[in-house]
Amino acid sequence: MAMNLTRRNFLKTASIAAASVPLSKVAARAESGVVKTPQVAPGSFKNTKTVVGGVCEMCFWRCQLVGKVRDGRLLKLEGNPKSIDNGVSLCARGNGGVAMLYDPDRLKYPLKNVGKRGEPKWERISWDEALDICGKKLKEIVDKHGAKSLAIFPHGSTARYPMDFFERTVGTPNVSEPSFFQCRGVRDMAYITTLEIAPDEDVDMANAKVIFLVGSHLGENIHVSHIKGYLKGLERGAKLVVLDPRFSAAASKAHIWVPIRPGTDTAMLLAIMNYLIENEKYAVDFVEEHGEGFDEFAEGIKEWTLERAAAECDVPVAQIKQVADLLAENMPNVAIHPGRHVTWYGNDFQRERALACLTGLLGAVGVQGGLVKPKGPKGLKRINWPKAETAGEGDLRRMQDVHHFHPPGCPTELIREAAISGDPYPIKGCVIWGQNMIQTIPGQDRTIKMLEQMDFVLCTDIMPTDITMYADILLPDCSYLEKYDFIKTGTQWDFSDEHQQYIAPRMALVEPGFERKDSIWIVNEIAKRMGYGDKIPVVSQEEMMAQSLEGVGLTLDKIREEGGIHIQPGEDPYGNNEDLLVYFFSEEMDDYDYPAIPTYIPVEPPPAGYMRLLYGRTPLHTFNRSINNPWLIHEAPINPVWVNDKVAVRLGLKHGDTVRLVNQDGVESRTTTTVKVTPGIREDAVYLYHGYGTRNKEMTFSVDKGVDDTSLITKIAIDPESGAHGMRNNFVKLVKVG
Amino acid sequence: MLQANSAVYTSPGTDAQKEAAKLADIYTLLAQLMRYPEDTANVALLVQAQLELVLALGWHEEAEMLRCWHAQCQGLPGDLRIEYTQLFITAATRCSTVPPYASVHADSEALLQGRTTERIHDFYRSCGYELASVAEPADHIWLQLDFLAALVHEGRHTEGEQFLASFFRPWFATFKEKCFQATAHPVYRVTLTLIDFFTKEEQ
Repeated sequence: MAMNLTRRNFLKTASIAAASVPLSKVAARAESGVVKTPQVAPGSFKNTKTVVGGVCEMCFWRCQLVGKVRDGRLLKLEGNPKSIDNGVSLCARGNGGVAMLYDPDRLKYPLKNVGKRGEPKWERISWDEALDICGKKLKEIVDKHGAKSLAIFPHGSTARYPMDFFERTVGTPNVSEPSFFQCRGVRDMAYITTLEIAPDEDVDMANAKVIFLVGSHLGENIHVSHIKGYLKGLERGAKLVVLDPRFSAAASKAHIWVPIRPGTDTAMLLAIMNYLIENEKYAVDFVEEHGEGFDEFAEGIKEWTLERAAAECDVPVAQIKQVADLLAENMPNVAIHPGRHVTWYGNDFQRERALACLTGLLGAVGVQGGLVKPKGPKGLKRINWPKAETAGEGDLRRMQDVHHFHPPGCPTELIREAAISGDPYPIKGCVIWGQNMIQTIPGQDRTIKMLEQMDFVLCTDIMPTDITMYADILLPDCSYLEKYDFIKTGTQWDFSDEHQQYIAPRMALVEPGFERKDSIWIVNEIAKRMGYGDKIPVVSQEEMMAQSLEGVGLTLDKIREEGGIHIQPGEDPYGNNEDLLVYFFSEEMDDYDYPAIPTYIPVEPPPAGYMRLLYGRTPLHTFNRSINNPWLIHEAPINPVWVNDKVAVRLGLKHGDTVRLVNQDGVESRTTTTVKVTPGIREDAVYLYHGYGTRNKEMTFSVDKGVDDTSLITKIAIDPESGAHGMRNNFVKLVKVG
Repeated sequence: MLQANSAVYTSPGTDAQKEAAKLADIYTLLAQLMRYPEDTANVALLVQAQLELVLALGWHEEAEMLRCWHAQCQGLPGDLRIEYTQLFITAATRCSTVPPYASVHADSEALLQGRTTERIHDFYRSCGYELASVAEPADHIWLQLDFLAALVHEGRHTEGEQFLASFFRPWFATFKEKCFQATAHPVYRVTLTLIDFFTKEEQ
């Protein structure tokens, strides 16, 4: 470069008018990005407005929000003051929604992979081109192999409409929502089998005399109104019992902390129930009225003495007795928490059955402090794709006659196995919507194998998560702050307050940025290209909301005028047990040859030199979903591995040392983390926050930070009743680095 | 509304007016080069104009780089689209993307639509400009260059210099450096060098 030439001299002297492509020609053809308008004095755009109607989805509790918006730019999120759910409170993640919205790493345009799956090279393409490719490829696969050759992995409210389209109208049975299947699904099915109630997390902690948590680490796992109920209960004097190998946030508030051996919770629950029955310290009248198969149950768990459980669980007899007595003294006002993410050991259906039976044994259903289903608003219309006559043909679970108590959809592992093996039929197309399977499903190499054999992979997401590296087409979704796609309903969180119900439709707080589109638009366009244009149920997200709200005589405008949430009188949720049955012995399970009473199935102990790998939540992240959030990762940049202090001494590890983790199969963590030395964890286990260790370099705030625990879960355990993966059956040792 | 590039200066004019028109055209060219390369014919025109500008500047090394690339190019605009996507939108397997937005580099939070975006947008408005129908935030580099072209075209050098000093230069140097670390592609390296040359402060 001729550095002595100045711009001024160049402009004065040089002639480029004679060039074969004169600059003036370029300028004349150019469409400018700015246009002339009347001059506006500075300060005219400073009116910050409060926009109502936000419904959070940093996690799936869906708190109600308002946004402070200036000139189309979201400045701040706050809890909606009209909310009777979260109120004005938001958690750190909820506040962090602003940084999610404006994360520069977010997907902005449709992308085509012109490289390889796993090592993509992206080219931005138009929506038309992207949709044409999706429609053509998916149709070709369906035409060649049938609808069942498509696998759909959806997650979150954005994915409901696409899931329904592919499952109902196209007709594939191979739909699995891994983050639900490998999370709450097992719990819901076990409770439905036992109490005919899907429990969600509906325990009336605010009015309980005892709160009983098995592994639930409330306070680290934060759902605002749930935590309000929990803290209100403690404030009102509830006793807290926590079973956890780790001194969790909840354990730190507990009256009784039981540092139980991992994997043995069911044994302790059986011993508690056996003790209560043998000593007639259970709700006898309630059980007589509502119990089914109680005698078989009582007989079947007789072997579980306190002494036997104490040995199995590594817990003193006196402590198990203390817990049992505390529950008995306070029944029926005891909150036996069903848990949330419950897929731990591949025997989790039985543990959840035991929790449901304990709830029944204590008569803790429909009473203050017990399992109480809130009575929320009814009448919202469910808009859906029409169901094809052939929908569901080729159901892998039915064909194999397994996992008879599975959550809705197909067990994820069955789809993955069929796709890899081609048996019983080929699965050649994959649609992944808002789901990072790399960090939700154990056996990452198998997930990758599954994707590699596909003829076509479509991913839709808001972030370039690890799974998106395997897409052929990657579409940019709107975030929850840019769309209308969900109606949150519920009641006030404290049932001792005036009974109220609310209806809170999600409304966009800001316009979608770049070329992001909502899932209803995207799916409709794909449907048209696959030949299902005549089946489209709604043309837009706004129409979807309008039709749903018609069922309760409301409109978006009316609710917006009401402050974004419609409040109406509620109903007393207590005392509705007329039809309740408690299946202590399940004939249905017996018919399918599963243990018909809750049964303890031991898990493998750690091999010598290894510790069980446990994982959980940090209050600052919703696992990998929020990991790249610039504000949140700043506050919790890595996931230190918790190691018992005595173990640390034996291993020569000090607090803050850098380590790599190696599992029982020799798989090493790709990245490192630091050691947190603490007496607050058992010697036979280590603990990590889940969701770290992102590998996609485009997640620039989170890449390579912390350790990806899922990468170390290579030993696959499947819960026989549900088909869900258990994810705490792997063991690690720590290797000091440097 | 008037298009920003509508001719204010027509030939013949004063020397100052001609120089301004020339600079405005250069800013427009550079803005176009920093947009996503969609239209094949237009992209061919842009890269040719870029080469001729470089030749007029006497930058032989850069001209050679561009010529070599052009000779080896597998096809326009595909090559540039992929490079643009990798460099400015979403990369995956190599260095990270360098987002072409001022707020990401100038603000401590490094987010889109940051305080810098707002201030830049306000400045456009205070000068009587608004964004056309574009999906990008106001502080995308091509919008800033288009805005500069519009100001220079109108002969509003004081405001142009104020914009450069207050809004453009504070982030561009960092941005350019990151881009140079991330790409070896001659079109973008030369474009950034040209932007630097035509926006830097001269005594």
